[in-house]
Parts: sequence; C-alpha cells; structure tokens
Amino acid sequence: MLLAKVAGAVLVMGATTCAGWQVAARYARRPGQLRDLQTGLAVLQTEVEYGATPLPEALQRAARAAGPVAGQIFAESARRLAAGGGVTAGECWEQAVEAVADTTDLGPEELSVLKALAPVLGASDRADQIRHLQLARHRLESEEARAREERQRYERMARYLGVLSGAALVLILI
Amino acid sequence: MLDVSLLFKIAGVGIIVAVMATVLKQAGKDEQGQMVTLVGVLLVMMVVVSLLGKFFSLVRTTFMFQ
Amino acid sequence: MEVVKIVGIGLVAGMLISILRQQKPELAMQLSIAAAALIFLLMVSRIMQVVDVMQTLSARAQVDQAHMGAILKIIGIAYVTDFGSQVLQDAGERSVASKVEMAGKILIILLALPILLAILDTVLKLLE
Repeated sequence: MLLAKVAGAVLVMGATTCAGWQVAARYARRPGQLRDLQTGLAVLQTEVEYGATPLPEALQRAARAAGPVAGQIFAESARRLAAGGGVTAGECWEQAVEAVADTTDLGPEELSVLKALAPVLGASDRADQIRHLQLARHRLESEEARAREERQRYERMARYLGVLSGAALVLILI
Repeated sequence: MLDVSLLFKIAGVGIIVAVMATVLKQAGKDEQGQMVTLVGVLLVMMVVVSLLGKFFSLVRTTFMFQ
Repeated sequence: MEVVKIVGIGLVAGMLISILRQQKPELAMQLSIAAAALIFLLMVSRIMQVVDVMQTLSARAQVDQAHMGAILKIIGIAYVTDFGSQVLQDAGERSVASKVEMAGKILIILLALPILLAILDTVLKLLE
C-alpha cells in the first residue's frame, strides 16, 4: 500500500515537472527560431535583390540558412512549388507556413507576419518584394526582442511551478 | 489521518503556496501569486474548520453539552 | 507513553508554525488551531475517564447532580475560552482575544449563579 502511494506520488510529480520543463523549453527555443526566420528571410531578400535565381532554389538556400526548425517553412514551400500543379508561389508559402507551424515554437503573431508575405512572393516587382521582406524582418526583430524578454521572465517560473504544483497535488491527495 | 501527518500536510501546503507566490511575483505575475495564496488558504481552512467542528462537538459531549 | 506522542505533536507543530509565520502568518494561525484540536481529540478518552470519576465521587458525596453538571460545563467553557483566546493572541489579535475571554467570564458567572445561591442558602441556614 505504501509502495503504491510512493509510486503514485512519483508519477504525479514527474508528470507536472515534465510539463513545467516543456513549457520552459518552449520559451527558451522561441527567440532562436525567430532569429533563424530573420536569417532565412535575409537570404531570400539577397537572392531577390542580387541574384536571378528562380524562386524554388532561392527558397532552398534560405532553408539551409534558417536552420533545422525555421528552415522547414522555406523547405516545405520550395517542395510544394517544385511539385507544380498550378499553385502560385504565394499559396505555396502560405500552405507551407500552416503545415509546418505546429512543429515549431512560433506563435500566432509571427505566423501572421509570415502569411502577410504570401501575396507578395514571386508576384510583384523586385523592389516591392524587397520592401516587404525588409518589413517582415523588421517585425520579426521586435518580436524576437519580446520573446527574449518573455523567456527571461517565464522560463524559470514555468519550471518551478511544474515542480511545486506536483508537490502540492501529492500533498493534497496523499 | 488524525495524527502528525495532518500537521505536515497543512505546513507543506503552506510552504509550497508561499514559494509559488514568490516565484510568480518575481516573474511579474503578482495577481496570480495572490490568487494561489488565496486558494491555498481556503483549502487549508476547509480541513481545519472540519477538524474544529469535530473538536467542538467533542467538547460539548465531554462536558455535558453546553 | 502517550504523553511522548502528545508532546511530540506539540513540538513538531510549534516548529512548523514558526516557519509558516514568517511566510504566511494566516496559515500559521490555522496550523495552531489544527494542532490544538488534534491534541484534544487524541486526549478525549482520557478526559472522559476523569469526568466519570468526578461524577462517581460527587454522587457518593451526595452533591446535587445539577450542580455537578454546571461545574463540568464551567470547566468546559474555561477550557474552550482559553484555547480561543490564546490562539487569537498568537495571531496578534489581542482585542478579539480579550472580547472572547470576557464572553467566557460572563457565561461562567451565569452558570455559577445557582451554585452561589445554593451555597448562600446553606450558609444562611447554618446561621439560623
């Protein structure tokens, strides 16, 4: 009987602690992914500005520059574009963002910034695209600053709360 | 139920609530901290009031109902 | 060694209460109420034994049983009033504590009046 109690207590505490750690980890990962997004967009902007590369290849290069997580957006976009089927670049981009969003730690704000690029990508003239990409990068930069601040405040808190709520539950239920 | 472990339970909940409130306050969420404190106090109060009820009814029977 | 258990509970409670008082004084008060109630609950059977003995003795001494009941109630009031007053003082509420004590005193006087009258009667009869 005592063994069952101890086992139950360990399970409950382990569960809440892990939950707390996961929330904390999310706060930790977000700033990095936002920075990667900016890098990817910068590469894309450079390709549009100075290169004559076709969009799928430019997206592939951006994907490589944007790292394993954020790069998925660019890679998926390139893949859909290459798959053809009459979809515009903007639609591919938007679909890619939606498809990949759940695997990243990005939130609705930056996702909407990305989706706002959809109508512009590969559609308007060079200067216009460059302007929009620059604007998106700017917005992501301020978002990144906010994410860093949130991380400062909430990462430790989430971990502590995980452990503490587990202990509280155990105490109340035992 | 009615032995030292009860005291440890109450004290434990009290300390955990105190630490939680501090952590939340440091992260800037003071209102949540105060809510957690309130919840903790109410929880403990439920246990203590029921214990007090038992105590008073026992006093009544022991000293020939007041 | 029942007394060891009781004293142990009291000491542990004291330690926990002093810790809690730093962080959450309101919970410290509740803990002290809980500890006092707990100790009383553990002692109840012994207390009833004492009460039984008192009642047997008083019956043998042919004291009026109604008076005996009143005396018992007075002891109970005194105990509960003291408990409440002490807990309140520990929590810093000295004014409320003194009001509680005053209430207890009034109730005790009320209960004691018949006994006082009976004693007065007896004394007067003796003097006649």
